[in-house]
Amino acid sequence: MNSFGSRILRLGGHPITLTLFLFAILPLALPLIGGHISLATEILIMSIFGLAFNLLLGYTGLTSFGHAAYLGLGAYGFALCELYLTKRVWFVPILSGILLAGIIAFLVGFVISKKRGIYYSLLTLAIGQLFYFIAFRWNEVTGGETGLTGLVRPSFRIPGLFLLDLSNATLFYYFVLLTLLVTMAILRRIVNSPFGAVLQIIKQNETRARYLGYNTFWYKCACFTISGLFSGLAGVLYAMFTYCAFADYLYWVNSGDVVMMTLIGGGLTSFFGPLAGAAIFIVAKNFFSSVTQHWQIFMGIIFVIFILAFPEGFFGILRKQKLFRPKTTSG
Amino acid sequence: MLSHFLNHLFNGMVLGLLLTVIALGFSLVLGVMEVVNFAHGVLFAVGAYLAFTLVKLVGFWWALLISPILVAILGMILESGLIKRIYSLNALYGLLLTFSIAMGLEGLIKLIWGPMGYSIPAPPFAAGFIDLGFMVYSKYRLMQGVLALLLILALWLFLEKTTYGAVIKAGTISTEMVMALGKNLPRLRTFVFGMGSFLAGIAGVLTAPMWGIRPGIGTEAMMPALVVVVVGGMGSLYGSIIAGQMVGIVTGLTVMFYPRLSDLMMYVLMLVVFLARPRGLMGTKSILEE
Amino acid sequence: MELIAIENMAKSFGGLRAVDGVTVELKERELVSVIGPNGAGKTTLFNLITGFIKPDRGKVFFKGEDITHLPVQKMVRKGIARSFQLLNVFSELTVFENIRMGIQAHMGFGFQFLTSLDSLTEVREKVPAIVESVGLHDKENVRAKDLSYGDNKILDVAIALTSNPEVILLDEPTSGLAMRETGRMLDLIGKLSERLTILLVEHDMNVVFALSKRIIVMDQGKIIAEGLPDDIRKDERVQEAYFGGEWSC
Repeated sequence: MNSFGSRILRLGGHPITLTLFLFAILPLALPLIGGHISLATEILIMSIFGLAFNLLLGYTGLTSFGHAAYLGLGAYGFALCELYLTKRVWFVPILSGILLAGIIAFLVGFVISKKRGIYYSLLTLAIGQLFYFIAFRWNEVTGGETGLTGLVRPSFRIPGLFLLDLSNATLFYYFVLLTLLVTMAILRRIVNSPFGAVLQIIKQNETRARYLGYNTFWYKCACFTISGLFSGLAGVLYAMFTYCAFADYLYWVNSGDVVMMTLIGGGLTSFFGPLAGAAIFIVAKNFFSSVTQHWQIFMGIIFVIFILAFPEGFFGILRKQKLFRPKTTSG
Repeated sequence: MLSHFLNHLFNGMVLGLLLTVIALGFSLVLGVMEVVNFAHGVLFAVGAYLAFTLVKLVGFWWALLISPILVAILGMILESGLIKRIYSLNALYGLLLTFSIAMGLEGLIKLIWGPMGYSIPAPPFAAGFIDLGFMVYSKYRLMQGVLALLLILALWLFLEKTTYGAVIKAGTISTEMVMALGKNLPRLRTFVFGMGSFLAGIAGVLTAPMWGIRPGIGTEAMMPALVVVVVGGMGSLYGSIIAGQMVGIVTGLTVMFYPRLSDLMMYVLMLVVFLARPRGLMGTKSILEE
Repeated sequence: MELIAIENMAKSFGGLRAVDGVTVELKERELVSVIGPNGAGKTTLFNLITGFIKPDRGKVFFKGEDITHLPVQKMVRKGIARSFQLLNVFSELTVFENIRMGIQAHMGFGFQFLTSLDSLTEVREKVPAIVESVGLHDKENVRAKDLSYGDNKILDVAIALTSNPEVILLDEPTSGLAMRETGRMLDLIGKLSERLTILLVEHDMNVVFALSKRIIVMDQGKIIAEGLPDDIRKDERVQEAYFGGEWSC
């Protein structure tokens, strides 16, 4: 077999390719086992959120405990644009959501990036709550407790051919999958870039990074902004998914959830950790809440077990079993 | 008008004292064990719920005493069973572990007491109003304030005047110090966690008639604790008292003028203080910055 | 002409005067050692000079320019570098990668988001020169955490060289090293002293007397003696501060 052929074969057998293949056929397979595709869609959206979050946690070593705010801002940005500006030009609401989240993330990042450690986390938590309450109380703009409803998913007209209406659950799934793939490609690039390398040395030894000549403040700020942008993207998708934007999206418990997802999936040691984490978290929550109203107890127990027994997370376990290459800084 | 204003002001001050009690329990654990205890809020809730049950059995005063003790025992079990395993790890794990415990315990609360809320009336002897001369004030709030003040005073006496309290203070500076003093570190930590839980629990009992009893009050108590710690600064009892008063009064007065903003004023306060004094009003350089 | 001048530098922590009115001047290609008992303020002095902490009083001049209040990363860009007493390298990276990060900073490539790190050949091709100049070329692809302590100390100095400094502050470069490794470090510092100005903090007196053109002695935040090695050897105040008596080396 020639080298191209063997390369294809290697690519095909690679765990990432297999996973992608699985994700691609999921909408067809799920109904056969009585599942609904919306569960898979939710996992994909939360994966985007988790990947955005992990840029801060896994790569730069910064724990933001108020990150749900940026997802929420993305959702609200999308919703407000659709309701008050336009819903006909499809990318404008999407861009609004992403930009709102990104701009606020930049401002917040600017304020907090001089700090680190627990102080940093507590600040992000409080700022996140600040935004939650703004969303909850600013009735005139955000709809207050009732939130913003009646959103629509965009539709694309392929000239001369047909209309892609994302209200179709399956089509929406593939749209989100495509967005996830693009997100992964971009973030992967960032992580393997000179900028990404600096983030990683900031995580290992920020003092030494400064002594090399890097102004670490701006790197942390930029990282927070990029993370905010992609979290906003996840928020936009989530608003499309649920057709609404609620203040609850910004509540700190959701921030805690994404930290948990990232850890459980092994985000601290693997780029793909958040994907596994999102899957485990959402499937578990779905399972338990459908079986019992006391799902919180079970989720709590599972997380405690994971943290105490498997702190390296899902991909960390795989790595220990030598089933997966560890993350390296230069690729 | 003036008495209206004074009423809100006093409400703010009483709230501030209660917030200080909550924050002190949280900050002790943070200082000695370097763990951000997200279960602190749910322990507060457990205190309130236990009081709800106990009041019907043994009356208010016994409930006030027994409930925090039970919460303290629960806290110590959690510490020695679960939390102590993550001390040597990155702070993130402690945070997430206590977060998970909080989730589990909140579910447990719903299991035992149901997901609905309850209201618990003020005890009969403290119901109604008292004429203080310059204004008429709620008897129960006055009692809350006095009890909170006594608690803070007791804590101060303990930390400043007893040898064990001194060891605990040393513990907030460094664990090496504690070991050098020849004290049993694990037992100290369990005790401190128990103390923190006790404070959370008793705060829960005291605020129950005011805030009502719902499974979600745990997370609602958590946030002010964090804000008080950031505003007051780590490592300072006075800082926690002042910060508690600031948060309480700002919230109380906002209720009077712009009720809609009352929830978020404390976060605004926190940001303002942080921008002006990043270590908090009276904070010293602490583990929070590592 | 002084290359770097520290004027009346002072810093207190709480009630403790860590550095109390220190004035030091270094000419080009001078190697000056700072010695003194533990707690004398030597590392604090380094922190003050490099902008890691802000002084209460005093100034730092580099080539005549007041750089006192510059943050660390700007200081480094001006041409001042530093190694550390406790290991301060990037333990997860290889020797090559450690040095590459320094060169990347020096060449200003940090803020590139979408290019691949490996594609920056102009950065990569500068790495081998530094790796070889410190003698680590056979361990280029070893992760720092898998290196010996001695190699790590050498790496620490190598990283400091990536910013192409004119002045380098070495904080106890031979601490914890065995005899043979000390010799290696000595050779390296000796080579560096031919083209760089060096301020050296050391406890190993053999190293200090072998390398230094001038010695400064600190105790409790102040300079208690300064001069040529021979003079310092005989100085009673120094003997008093160090040993309460005589040299034992």
